[in-house]
Amino acid sequence: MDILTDIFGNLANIDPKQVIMWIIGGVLIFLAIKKEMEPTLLLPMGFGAILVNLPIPDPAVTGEVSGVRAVIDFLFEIGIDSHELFPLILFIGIGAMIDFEPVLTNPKLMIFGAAAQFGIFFTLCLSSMFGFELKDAASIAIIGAADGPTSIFVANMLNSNYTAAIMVAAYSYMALVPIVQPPIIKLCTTKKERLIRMNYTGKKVSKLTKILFPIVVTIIVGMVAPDATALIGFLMFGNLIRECGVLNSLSETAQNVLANLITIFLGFTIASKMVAEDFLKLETLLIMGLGLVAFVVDTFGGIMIAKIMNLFTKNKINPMIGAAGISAFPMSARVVHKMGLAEDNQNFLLMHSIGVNVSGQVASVIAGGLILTLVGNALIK
Amino acid sequence: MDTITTTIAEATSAAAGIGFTPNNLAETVPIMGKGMLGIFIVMGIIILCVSGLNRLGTKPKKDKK
Repeated sequence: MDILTDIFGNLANIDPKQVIMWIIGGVLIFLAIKKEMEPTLLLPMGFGAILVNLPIPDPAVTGEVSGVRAVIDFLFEIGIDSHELFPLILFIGIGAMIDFEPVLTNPKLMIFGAAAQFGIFFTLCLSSMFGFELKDAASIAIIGAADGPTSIFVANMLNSNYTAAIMVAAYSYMALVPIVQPPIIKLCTTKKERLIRMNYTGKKVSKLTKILFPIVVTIIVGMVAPDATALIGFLMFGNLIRECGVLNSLSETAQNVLANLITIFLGFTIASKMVAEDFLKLETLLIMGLGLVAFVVDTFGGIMIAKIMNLFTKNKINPMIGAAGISAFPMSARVVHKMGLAEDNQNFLLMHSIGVNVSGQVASVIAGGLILTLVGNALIK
Repeated sequence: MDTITTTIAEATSAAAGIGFTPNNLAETVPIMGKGMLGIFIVMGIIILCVSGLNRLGTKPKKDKK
């Protein structure tokens, strides 16, 4: 009997809440494998959620946090908590992946990227009305950036109490872009608008422009939104490696090996915050709902600015491309392109929507920086 | 309108223990205004710079005589 107690004694430490977290972890793994929804992140997060919710001897009794929890906590401490290292390094990889040429040929597309950040600020107001502290409301709102590293960066900088729920919501909705956006786009546009064809001039952009673009953007954003300097700096550094033409090996490493390596650790590290007692709260459900609102209003904002521009321009814009400004790169651009083809199989919107999409990437970083600055100022007052 | 707001507030509070406080808008709406204005200004500056860069990078064609 004593032998059984020795072997299975730990079973007595199982909490029903932990079992719920195993199920949530299982669902994330299912979505990653079966539905292929952001598998690079949802799979490590799902497995990590199970791992950190296994019953461990009470630290109050043993005097120390058990092995696996200690390791994952350490990863969080060095990778996210100290100086947001993981999301920033991941941004080098993302920067190296992005080709800004479509937006450099038609810079006006950046307006849509700006407009599609409206959901962030709308959700800030809504979250605040639901009684969240300003720092938490701002962290929840940044889910609307549709950009994982930016969400992690801002939520951590603001020391939000809901970091895990925010990260899960951010990545889940990014994966759900092909499901969330089409009904909103259809609701906000008429068939006639969806049929608008847009010519792509295919102008060549000089190498000098491609090299100077990341440097100029870093300087501008760094001066206006200093809190976003790290994010935009790492993103644009990655892009400079890509465009300079003499660091192809580094560019490939940043796009593949570096990004993959950090992604593995990032998903696992985020899971350290998915401990049952912190995660299983009604606020988590509310945050998931508010995140959805942010995505919906972002989409709405991008479409509406296109409609407004159509009132004043001769060459009409297909308002659907405005929806790609939410920055979930490149899913959102693909969604718009597919919707365009579904309406008219000769209507190719990909280059326009990619242009808007990469603008959204830059705009979401600026929005993150402005949120940090403005909310930081408000908190000081 | 007040009745609806009160009902939502009561339902939300009962469900999640979270309040519904529209008064917080006084603090967040200015942030929204400044934030959106800031994004448009920064993106506007970037658009101008990119347009300038494009002109800089485009060599004028020499007329063939």
